[in-house]
Amino acid sequence: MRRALFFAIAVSALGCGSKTPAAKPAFEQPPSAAGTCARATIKSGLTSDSIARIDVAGNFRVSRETMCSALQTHVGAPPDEATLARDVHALWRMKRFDDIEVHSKVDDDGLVVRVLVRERPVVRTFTITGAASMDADAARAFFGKEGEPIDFPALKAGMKGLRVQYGKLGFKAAQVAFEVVPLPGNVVDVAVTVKEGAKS
Amino acid sequence: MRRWVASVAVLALAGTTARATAQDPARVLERVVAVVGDDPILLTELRKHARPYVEVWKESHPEAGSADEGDIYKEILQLMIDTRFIEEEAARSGIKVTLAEIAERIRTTAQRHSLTVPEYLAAARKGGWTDNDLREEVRREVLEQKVLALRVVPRIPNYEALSEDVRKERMQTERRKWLDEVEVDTYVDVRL
Repeated sequence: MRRALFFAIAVSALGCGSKTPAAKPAFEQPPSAAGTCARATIKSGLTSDSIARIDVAGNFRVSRETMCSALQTHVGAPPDEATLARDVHALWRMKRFDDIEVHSKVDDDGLVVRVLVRERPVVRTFTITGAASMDADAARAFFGKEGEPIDFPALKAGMKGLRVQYGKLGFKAAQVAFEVVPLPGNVVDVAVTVKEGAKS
Repeated sequence: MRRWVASVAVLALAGTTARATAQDPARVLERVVAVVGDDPILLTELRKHARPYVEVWKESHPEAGSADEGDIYKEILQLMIDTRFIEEEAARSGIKVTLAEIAERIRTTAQRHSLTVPEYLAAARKGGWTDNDLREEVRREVLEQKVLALRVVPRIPNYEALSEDVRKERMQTERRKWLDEVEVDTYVDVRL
């Protein structure tokens, strides 16, 4: 049950200055960087459960080399559960992917392990509206940056940070919501809306 | 809650979550089943956590279908997510569980079942638990109890005066409420 990209969270917060950026073109999705990390060169020594080839797929902005260098799984041995888990964690720590799967299948080469990723979309624009009582740049500092992969945990943490900041300023009833709008080319626009309450 | 799961046992989530088709008989070896904050929970981690419960559950529910198994996996995953928040709260509050407390909990549990500790450990092994997994589960259980005593019990008026049944019911309700409050600022994405 995957959560939709559209996300709205009510948070206690105070105002911040609003900013409407100039229209920006959608980013272009680069060509696929999928490919093979490793292939067994001597097949005679391979058992049927040994990995003959390791492929990566689903990557566009992250190079094949970058992905392959994160993997400890290697050809010539059977897939190892603990190593595969470490590989997935290593890829996840790059903060470039929002989904990772590892598949196995058999083709003409033999047993193939395929690491399939879904890259996080890149934030094209980031706007904050309705926050008149706080400097826009200060408010934006709680969140991610334009041109970088979206970071949902950071967005939520940013909202909490903003709420704490507003609490310090005496605004208890303000609300913050954010919406992520997906666009072609695996980019998104992020819009944060602040409804300021009365200052206590 | 944890105890309920422990006694009911778990599902055998897609031992092969294979997404196979005639053309592409690919098998899923690993995938992300949930994200909590910055950290993913992986399929193999869920399976490992669930494994000790599987056999018991299958034995006690021979007629159950895969949908029932799926429900149990979801429940175990929710417990794993809750555990992360409880561990975080314990770290924030300086709550720890000592080896002596784990040993004592195992001793009293064995006693409750009229078993010696070696007999209890042997029975647990038979049920699919390794000694380390069992001790880790007991550690989590004791840790959760301590955290709930600190954070949830004070939310229940006249806790000490309530009957055992009412206490359990109120604890379960308030535990969920407290966890929901704690989770509100954290990114949680369940993908089962």
